[in-house]
Amino acid sequence: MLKNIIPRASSRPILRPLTSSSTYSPSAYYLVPRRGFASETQEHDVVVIGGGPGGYVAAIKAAQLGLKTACVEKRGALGGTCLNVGCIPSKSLLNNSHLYHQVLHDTKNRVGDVKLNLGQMMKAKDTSVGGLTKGIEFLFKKNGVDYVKGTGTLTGENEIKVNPIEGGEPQTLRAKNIIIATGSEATPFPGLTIDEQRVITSTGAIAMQEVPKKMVVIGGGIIGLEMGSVWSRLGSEVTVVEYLGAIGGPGMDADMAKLMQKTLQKQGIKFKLNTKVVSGDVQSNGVGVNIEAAKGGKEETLDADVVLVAIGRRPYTEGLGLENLGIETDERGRIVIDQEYRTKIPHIRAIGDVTFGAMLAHKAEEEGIAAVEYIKNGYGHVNYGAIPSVMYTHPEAAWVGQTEKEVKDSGKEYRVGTFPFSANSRAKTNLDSEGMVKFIADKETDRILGIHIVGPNAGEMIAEGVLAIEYGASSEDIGRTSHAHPTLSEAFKEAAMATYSKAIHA
Amino acid sequence: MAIAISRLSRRSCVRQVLSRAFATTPRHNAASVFTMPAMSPTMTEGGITRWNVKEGQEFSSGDVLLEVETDKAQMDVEAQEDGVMAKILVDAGSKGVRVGTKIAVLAEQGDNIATLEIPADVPSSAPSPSPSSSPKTSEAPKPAQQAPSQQPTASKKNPQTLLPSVSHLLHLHSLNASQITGTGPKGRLLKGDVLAHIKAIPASSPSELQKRITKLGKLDLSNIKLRPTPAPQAAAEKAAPKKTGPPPPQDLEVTISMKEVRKVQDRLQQRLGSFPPVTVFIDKALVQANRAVPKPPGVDELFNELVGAPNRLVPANFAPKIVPVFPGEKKEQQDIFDILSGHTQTGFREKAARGSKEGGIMGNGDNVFRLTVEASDADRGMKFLEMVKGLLEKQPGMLVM
Ligand SMILES: Cc1cc2nc3c(=O)[nH]c(=O)nc-3n(C[C@H](O)[C@H](O)[C@H](O)COP(=O)(O)OP(=O)(O)OC[C@H]3O[C@@H](n4cnc5c(N)ncnc54)[C@H](O)[C@@H]3O)c2cc1C
Repeated sequence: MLKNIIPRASSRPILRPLTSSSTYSPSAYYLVPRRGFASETQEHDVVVIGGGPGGYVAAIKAAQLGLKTACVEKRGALGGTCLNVGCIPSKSLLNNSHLYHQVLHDTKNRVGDVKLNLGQMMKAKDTSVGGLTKGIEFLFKKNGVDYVKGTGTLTGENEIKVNPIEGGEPQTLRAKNIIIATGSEATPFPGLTIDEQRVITSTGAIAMQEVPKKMVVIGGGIIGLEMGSVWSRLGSEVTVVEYLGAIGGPGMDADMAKLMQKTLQKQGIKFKLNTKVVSGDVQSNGVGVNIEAAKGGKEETLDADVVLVAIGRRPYTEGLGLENLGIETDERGRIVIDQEYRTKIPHIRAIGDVTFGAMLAHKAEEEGIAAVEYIKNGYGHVNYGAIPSVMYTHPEAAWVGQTEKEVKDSGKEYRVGTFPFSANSRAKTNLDSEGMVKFIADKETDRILGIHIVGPNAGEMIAEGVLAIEYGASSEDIGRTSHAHPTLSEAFKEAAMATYSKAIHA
Repeated sequence: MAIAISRLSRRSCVRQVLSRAFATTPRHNAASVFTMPAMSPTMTEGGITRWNVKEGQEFSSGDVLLEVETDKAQMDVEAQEDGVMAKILVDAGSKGVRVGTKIAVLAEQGDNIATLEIPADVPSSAPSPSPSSSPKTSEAPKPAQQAPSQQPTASKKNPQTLLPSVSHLLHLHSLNASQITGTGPKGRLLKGDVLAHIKAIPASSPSELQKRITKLGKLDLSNIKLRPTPAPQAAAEKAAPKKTGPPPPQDLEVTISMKEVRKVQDRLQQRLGSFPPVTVFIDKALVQANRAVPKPPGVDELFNELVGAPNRLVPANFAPKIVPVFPGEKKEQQDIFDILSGHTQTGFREKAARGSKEGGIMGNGDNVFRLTVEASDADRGMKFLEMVKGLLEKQPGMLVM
């Protein structure tokens, strides 16, 4: 049998599992000595580590189900990445920069001149964020969740040590169940040091004090395009460098990615696809970004005042103490779980960005609820086939289900139906008619496999698509359902009709 | 009157029951039967705690008609339209009333209750479940009365609102939903099911598609590649002052028997007349196992992964030392005390070194394969050794094919 000999030079030997890691049994390890200096030990049914959309929703749900619950958060505010430096602040800036841009360009001769007040715009963002994070604190109080401000570290299978952010003695929490929801952080670009001044992540991009003249965005995914849009609308000359041949990331349908790129180009954003950033030189007066064709080729340098690194996000588990319990991560740092979100220590679960699946706030929330339901009732459910994605550019892009390529690769015969917003009466009257709706349905059964929208309010419209997929609807079911006139949603219905039969207005 | 909907919320459920009852009943002086509603998808029976309207009493839409209880909850049943309570068939206090059991007769406001045409099969006196009877003795539900109109209804075993496409197809082909099994989420009847039923598409298509979609609905946890985890450390150790410098290298070992290899060698000798040396088997096993535990990604590979570009994997280059175990030689036992104290047994080590210097391999017996690796490579090293063991002991024949 396989056997380990002790490390040679170690005075404190570390025992490794005797068998392969899959048959790991925590009881085979040292007993964890109880810490002496901990101030007070409280027993909770559930302790959630991380107060983001995954963690705070799990905590509230657990308390609602009658479990004694605590939530540990080290940021000093609840809401996680999403509320503090992600979804919410970015949407505030997107909305306000869109208003500004629209008045400046589209409605200039109908409305009048406009001047940017960036300080006020940032203040509006901070007000929204502040209000919403305080709102969650209120919800904690209302539902009886103990809010513990500090960094949580796993020190035993049922024990979390919390280092308070305000300093002072660490506190030890004891928990029957632990939910890890520590989220993610921006992946740094090898060779470019983030200073959040010249080389920034999305966190710097939502807090710039002035509009950079030139901005290079590394990564043409959702975050890159949203932040690129904000600063382009406010007057920056934005170039997006993307390694792959299409923007929008892997989930976006190829037709939609192309359409989106054309639209954003019209708005003034430049794109360099199939292009690799090789290195960057940070100078006092700016950054030189060296790029070359992804397949190799001659180098070229882009000058920028600010470089936004938006190449993706990676799970965040620093200081969490996974190694104390031997909780596994995969090679990209995601905490390994089973379908019930259990790590290999079954009463310790992981949800949200820190584990597998799409890094989306609503996905983290669904998992938070399901994980708690598993704890309380032994059953929870998330339908990963019906989780929408939205990009809040203008027009918005939104989708649910499979892309055309995924369906094609699966070998299933399918039908596609599309309808352009330029043929929709409401979009035309609003003078906002870029984009289209695209349905992909199984050829035989007409069951909807994917819905992809680029267009005004696509993010709201996709909700109907998610419901349709959740219920197993066919395109005909949508086509036979009344949609109010004149609304953008008629385009949705017409695209459905175009899938199983023919659209009326196209 | 059939209750066609049970999957909707309580309110809409009741609305459906009542509005159907009214809509499908002649408007003048005719009664409609009110059946025990399903207040949740799983409810099969319930108790009537209280009637809030008396016989002969008028009610308006929104009034609470009765209170129903299940083992989970107590709920009000509201009227969605105005009407008159013509007759109460199941008294308050009854328990275990099956969903679908007729519990009352309703009429429209202004109807003359005395001359009301009570639907034919409604008994004139209240049926069994009496307040005192035990829950289980309630009468079995009578088959729901077919609605007089052509309205296709959902099957009773699978009550549901019909999707518009389904309802349309059922009409076109004069079908009843109860004839068709639903393959959709939670057994819902889908357009594809009707199309398969009328043989417009292959019978298996809907269920096959459902299978694929169900799979997509699960979090994809296949092919997880673990990051080598540092060994779990007790909290006390962590608290101890950290030593600087890289963690010490680790020794790993596994004993592998060559008995199977010998069998294959013998077989090859018999059939082909050639006897490949044992080193051929070992070399091939090492190459295969090294390929199975590729080197951890460097910066370039990480970048490729980030942007979704394919990575070429670089095989590992573990080269274990092989030490024969001579029959009868007692392998020294490692004492748990030595392990804990970090004390190594030099005797064992020296003998091992001697063995390998002699270059011997136990052709028909046990050999110890030993690796010294960086701590960070320990997991891959173990996997590598396990793989070599598997290859040589389970299917050595595959190695030389
Ligand atoms: C710019 C940007 C825009 C985005 N826009 C959208 C969008 O529009 N829609 C969308 O769905 N998603 C969006 N996202 C993604 C979304 O923010 C994440 O998917 C979501 O926040 C994940 O939630 P979570 O609970 O898993 O983790 P997080 O929100 O990251 O929360 C984890 C929390 O845990 C805390 N924590 C970590 N370790 C510890 C510890 N040891 N002890 C105590 N606390 C700890 C952290 O401080 C953090 O607050 C956006 C992200 C960014 C960066």
